[in-house]
Amino acid sequence: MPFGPRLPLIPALLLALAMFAVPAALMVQQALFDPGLTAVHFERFFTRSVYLGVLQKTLVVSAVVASLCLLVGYPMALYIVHQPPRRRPLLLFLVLVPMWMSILVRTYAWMVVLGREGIVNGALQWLGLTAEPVTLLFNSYAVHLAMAQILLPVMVVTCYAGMTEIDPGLVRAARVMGAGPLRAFRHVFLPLSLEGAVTGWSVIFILSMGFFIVPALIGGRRDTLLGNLIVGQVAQTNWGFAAAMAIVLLAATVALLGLVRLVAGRFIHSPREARP
Amino acid sequence: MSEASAPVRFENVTRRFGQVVALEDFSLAVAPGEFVTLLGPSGSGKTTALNILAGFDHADAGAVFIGERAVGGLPPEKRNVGMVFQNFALFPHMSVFDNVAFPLRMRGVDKARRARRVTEALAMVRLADYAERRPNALSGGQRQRVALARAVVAEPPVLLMDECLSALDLKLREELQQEIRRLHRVLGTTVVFVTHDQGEALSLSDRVAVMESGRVRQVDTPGALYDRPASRFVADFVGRTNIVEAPAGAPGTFADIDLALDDRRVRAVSLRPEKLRRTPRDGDRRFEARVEDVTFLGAAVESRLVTRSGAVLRLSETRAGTLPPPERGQTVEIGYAPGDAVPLFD
Ligand SMILES: Nc1ncnc2c1ncn2[C@@H]1O[C@H](COP(=O)(O)OP(=O)(O)OP(=O)(O)O)[C@@H](O)[C@H]1O
Ligand SMILES: [Mg+2]
Repeated sequence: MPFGPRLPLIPALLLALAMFAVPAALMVQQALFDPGLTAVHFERFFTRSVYLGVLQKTLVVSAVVASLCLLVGYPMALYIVHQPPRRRPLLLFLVLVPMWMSILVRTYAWMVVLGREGIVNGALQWLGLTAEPVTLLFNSYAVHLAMAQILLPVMVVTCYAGMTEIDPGLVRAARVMGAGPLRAFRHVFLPLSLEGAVTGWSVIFILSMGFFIVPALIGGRRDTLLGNLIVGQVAQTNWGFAAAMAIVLLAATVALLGLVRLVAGRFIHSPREARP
Repeated sequence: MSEASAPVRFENVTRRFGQVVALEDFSLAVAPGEFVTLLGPSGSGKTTALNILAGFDHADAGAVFIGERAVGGLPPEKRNVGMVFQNFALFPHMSVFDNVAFPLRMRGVDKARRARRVTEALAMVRLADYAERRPNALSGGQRQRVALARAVVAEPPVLLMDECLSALDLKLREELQQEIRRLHRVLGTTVVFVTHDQGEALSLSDRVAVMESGRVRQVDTPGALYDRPASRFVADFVGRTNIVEAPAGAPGTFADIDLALDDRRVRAVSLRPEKLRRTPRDGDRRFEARVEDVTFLGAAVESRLVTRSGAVLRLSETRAGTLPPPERGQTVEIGYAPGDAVPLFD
């Protein structure tokens, strides 16, 4: 019965076929046939500096957002994993609560926070630090801030999952062998937690590459990301060009993650020691 | 590093976890170079004692000394002890060499001396050819030998081992026991060993501290512990034994086994199964019993005996003996030297 054990996968397979394989194939077809085989859409993308600039911007913003999340999320995960086991579910719950709200709602919330009449401006004026409201919205800072805040829980949870795999006995062993807390962290915990950290960075990078709501609502004109361009082209029913850009987005994401794996691969170790 | 071995002392250490008393008024003195085992059932506080000694935990009351120094306020890295863990605790991201080099690196030993000492330590546990491997490319026994090498490489004066053999199967365990004895002989380090396996405790240690619910019940050499258990708990926990109870109204009298003791406080006696014999000698106490069951155990044969009043005793005989093994249902005459009946007062 060669297919027996895989039988339960059939619904998932059908779903993947209908919702991913078929649309992906259609997309490739849209990008390459107009109506005959043509590279005109890709040519358009790669010969205009505007588009290349947006691609570059998308890569940089995604990398920066992923790095910000790492900088904030890794220490948070570190804190949670060192709490007594009974407290951890509550803390993780608090980390995840924001994800109950849609990205759209959370982006509007940032408009409320950063707007001219917003909380931050109110506080600044109340403290007498500024006389007039300052413009905090519609720039790159706002975009980075909001994206990082929206994606942070993903980083915390991914890092945390990696850290729980680390046997606390290893850190104790390092301590009893003469390593102070910092050196035990540096030589034992950190290297073993990198796998989770790099996974978290990669996931956030992937998610960021597709972001378009945040830059559209609270970014400036120069904060357009590839996702926004695609949405725009779809709105104008330029299917061919939209499809070509989607393929570029996919290829760029895969290429950068490959690079990350290549560089980080040398430093990543699985925390799981095979049991005898 | 400094000295080859140091004394270790627990003085009236108490440790509580909420309602649970893990250690209560725990005192123990280990001489320099001595091999002492903490033996006790699960939950008796062995790990807690070792953790307090290593600096992973603290005493709520009392003091712990390594050398002449009270170490209560010292973090683990300042205590200069070596430790071997039950689950090996090898660093999975480092080679065998780097694992063993770790304590030296943390002590600032330079690279050349480090390499020499690691090579020596690996040779000592017969793993010289495995230096470049990753721990997960080793078998369980090899891993624990790496852990041993790592624990002793910096020559700490005190070595701690917590159930470090219980993850291994019987054969490997015996092999590693030999290894540990040899290391202890060669290095002369003070060893505090933890196990709940009484056989392991008896065969490895200079002295054994038997623990029960956070207290030391008896500290003695393996021989004394086996021959003169101070309590019912120790008699029962160390080795196999028969406990014969005195009737409620008549302490000190054991009509069943033809024994009467002058001391009226004796509530029971312990009689080791191998001290009973079917060929009574002069001066032996004698009694009759029926053979209920006979079990073949390889080198020995064990029989279950029932006395006149229904008490069950085990008899263990080596197969090198002159008599053929007893038969089920047979009634036999059993003798034993009166001195082999150890009085128990609790
Ligand atoms: N961190 C802790 N929190 C709460 N209770 C604990 C803690 N550590 C130990 N205990 C309790 O203290 C008692 C002694 O535990 P300990 O681990 O020292 O026993 P042990 O002799 O090592 O047992 P085992 O043979 O099972 O390893 C047990 O009742 C245990 O439940
Ligand atoms: Mg234990």
